[in-house]
Amino acid sequence: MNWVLCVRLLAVVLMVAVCQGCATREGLNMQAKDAQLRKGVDIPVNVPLGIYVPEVRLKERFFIDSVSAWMTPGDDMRAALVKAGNAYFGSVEFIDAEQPSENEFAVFMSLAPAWEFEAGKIEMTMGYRFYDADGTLLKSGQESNSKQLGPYHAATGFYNSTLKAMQLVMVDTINSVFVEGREFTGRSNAVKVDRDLLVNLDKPIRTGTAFFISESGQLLTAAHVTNGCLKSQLNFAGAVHDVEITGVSELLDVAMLDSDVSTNRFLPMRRSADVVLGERVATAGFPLANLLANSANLTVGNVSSLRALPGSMGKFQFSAPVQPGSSGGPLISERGELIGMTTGTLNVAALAERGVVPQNVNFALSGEYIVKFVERHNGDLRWFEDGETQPNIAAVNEHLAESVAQLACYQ
Amino acid sequence: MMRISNMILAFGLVALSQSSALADDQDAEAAISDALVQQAPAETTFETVETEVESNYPPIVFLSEVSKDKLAERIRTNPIFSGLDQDALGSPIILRMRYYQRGTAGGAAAGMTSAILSGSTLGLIPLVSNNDLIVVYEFNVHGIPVAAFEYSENFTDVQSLYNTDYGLKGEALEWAEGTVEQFMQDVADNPEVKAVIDEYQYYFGAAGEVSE
Repeated sequence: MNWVLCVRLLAVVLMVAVCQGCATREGLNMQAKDAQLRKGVDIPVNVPLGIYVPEVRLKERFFIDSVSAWMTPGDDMRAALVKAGNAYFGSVEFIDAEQPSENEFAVFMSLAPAWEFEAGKIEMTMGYRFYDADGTLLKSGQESNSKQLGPYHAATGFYNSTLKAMQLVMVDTINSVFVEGREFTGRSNAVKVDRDLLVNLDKPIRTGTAFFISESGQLLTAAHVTNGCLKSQLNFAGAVHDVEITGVSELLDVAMLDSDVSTNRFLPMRRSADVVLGERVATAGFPLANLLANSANLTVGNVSSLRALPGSMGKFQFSAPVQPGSSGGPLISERGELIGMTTGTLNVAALAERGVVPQNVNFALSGEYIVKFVERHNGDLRWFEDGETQPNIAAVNEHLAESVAQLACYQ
Repeated sequence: MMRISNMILAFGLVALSQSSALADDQDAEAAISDALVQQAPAETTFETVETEVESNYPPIVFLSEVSKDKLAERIRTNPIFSGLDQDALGSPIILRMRYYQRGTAGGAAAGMTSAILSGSTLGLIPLVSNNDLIVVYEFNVHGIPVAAFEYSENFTDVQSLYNTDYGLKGEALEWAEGTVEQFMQDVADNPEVKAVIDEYQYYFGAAGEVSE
């Protein structure tokens, strides 16, 4: 008799385990205590809602150790936003900043979703700003919740946590903003909406380095610094400047920027396309933005190889130390000629875990391809003239440090 | 020689903008993690040799979650991919084939019932699941998706509760491998891919500076 009981108990335990794994999409719980609308408010409120979510969140892909699975939460998050938006507002229009449509909305939300993972659960925080069509901020705040991240269909956890967070956001917003007699007759769309209202300017999604190539304020940086930026800003000489991206080559990993800065601190290009094996080089940039002081860091080294990894295009190898945030920094010769641009390095930490410790194996885009790129995009490049030679290395370095600026990318 | 090359492909290039985006490196890690185990301590250097490029088509790295060599052989017959080279570790262009499963409405309900039945019989009754299998070919430049080609098919799978072999097999594997033919047709007319090839030819032509 006892063994029958044991088998049944085991079966129950197994069933529970299986069901735990099969997390399913939840619905909106309108009876939840923390999601109660004011009396007299009927949903949907039938006010077309625009929603902006940073592209970096919609397209991110990452690995979660606790469930040993790759996650692409964008689709689940988007589905939950549509469900909550339709339920509370009646219709939802996603604001795609890259390919804006003219579909109208009367109010819009800029969302800042963030996740943390702990003990098989998603801890989600949804920051939000809520505007009317004219761009008046009506409400802002954040909501948090915790949902199960099952080992099977783990992505469902992203759906459930987003849905719950958005329910709280929408209830809070409607309770605060949709007071009796208030109407939302204005209309906007993704083309007309002020992008400054969409982006989160509190924190850049990444930072890098840019440098001036002429007195007209034109700059170069690495394309991977500017990819997907809704807004890019330059921190130069203690002031912040908006910049416009005027040319990009993903293939070469280089981008050209226009700014309103006029400066005589720019880097002229070496006339000869060649770099010399072993020649001394210097680079400047703004690495480790959260750790180091916000001033240009200058390092020196030499050209350690005229080629880079097999298959790389237009790159050479150099040894001047670089860190995250150095991308897009210029590489100059001892005379102050621009000869390249920092694009990448070997991942020391990951390789060291496996017994190989590369030292200062860094890569730069060769000057030859910088010239081709700038010409292709009708840029404004200056050539190094012999008469421009600085009196000493200190002057060369000072000029280098004053020719670079920190570039911040926002979404 | 290949061991360190694999490591570089897996963890190698880090873009130096300051963010936490190491996803592409992690993708590569997943693809070749087996190879890392066989690392030979003596093979800790690699060389780059300057040679003149003869092809008008770029070196491209191919990553695949299934049948990598078999698919690579077929894909290489398209001139666009004639530079497909697993050793071109520094190439910014990566063609990646991956797959995932997407639950269907009916499949979720049936799967739940099947899971309960299987669990309550301690695995005597197998698990039956019904999902759409999605195969995606992604053409990326420096980690940026330039074009993606997606194919899907519905499959019903029967497996033991204690099965730990989660890879594609049987009919599903055969279908996944077969998607390469449709991909070859679709990629030939794709304007985004063509734009990348054109840009490559503008900068590097027949004698450009590509490390080999």
